[in-house]
Amino acid sequence: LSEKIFLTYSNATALPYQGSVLGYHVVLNYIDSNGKHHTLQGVPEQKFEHNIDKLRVYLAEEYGSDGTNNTDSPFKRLRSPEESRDDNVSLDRPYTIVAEDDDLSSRWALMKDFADEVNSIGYEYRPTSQNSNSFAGGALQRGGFLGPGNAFPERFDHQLVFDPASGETHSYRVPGFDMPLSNPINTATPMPFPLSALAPPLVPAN
Amino acid sequence: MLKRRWLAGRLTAFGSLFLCLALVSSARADSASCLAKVSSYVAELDELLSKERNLLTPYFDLNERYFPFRDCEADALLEIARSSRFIRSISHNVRLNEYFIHFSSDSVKVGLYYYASERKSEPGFNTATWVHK
Repeated sequence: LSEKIFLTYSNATALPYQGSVLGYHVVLNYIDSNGKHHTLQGVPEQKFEHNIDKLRVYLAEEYGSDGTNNTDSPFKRLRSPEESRDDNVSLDRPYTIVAEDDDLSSRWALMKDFADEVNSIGYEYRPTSQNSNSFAGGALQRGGFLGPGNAFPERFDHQLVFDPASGETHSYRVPGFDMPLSNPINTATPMPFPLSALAPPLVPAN
Repeated sequence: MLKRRWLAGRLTAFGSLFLCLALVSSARADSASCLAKVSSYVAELDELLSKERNLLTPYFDLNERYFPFRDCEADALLEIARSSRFIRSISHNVRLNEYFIHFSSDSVKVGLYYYASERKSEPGFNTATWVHK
């Protein structure tokens, strides 16, 4: 099996001034048969550097707004940049394997289509309820990896993560992963099919 | 009869030579205009990376205005990329003959992928992201 789709994680939310990790940010990874490493992730358009600002805008968006107005987020839109590198990534950091197969290119293409749609339609970024993890969950669902009949039948806000350093599996909190994207900004953009649409289950390539 | 055949041969050869010269000249012109576009892109990217630390939108807008790059001579393109104050690395995938050029400030990183054999950049322009999410 030469290709892999897997998740990696970075600290997403730390308590300002105190530093505890409250959740993790999910990055989608794909290693193709050429050894090329592709990633997709959701990010906010606007970033805040100082803790006091982070706390202020977090409270303003999650508690001061109910999400009905989809253009008032201080973080602006959820965007999905894409990276491709030839860096022979090794699985030496905590990860979750989603799929291994001879050819996962069509699955990754569906996930990239989802990213393109998110970028062109536009969704406001909300720190815990519509964030990078909501994007990751949606992309995996579009790729056919989440939903009934799949390895991950439901979307939860926790992921089982294998840590190669300790050889143990942990449960990571990934806030927003279980929340589908909602309230699109640009409703004039034609959508080929709903963002929550499922792809058919993965069929072995032999 | 022989004279007419000789004349036709000369005309064909001349036409072929003219066509080749025109193609070479056109390829050079295409590469020159592509390289000028890359130069301009790198200059604007340098300016942006030196001042914009908190917003990705201007990077997406910049990439959307300039991408894709087509018909650049790869070595010359890499030379222009190396002139950036924010160049971090250039890697080469031998199998695909693709270059990955990585620009970055302390806050924002931007990638440019160029397929040397096909003489074109990867079409996606959403390649800017935060250094630390």
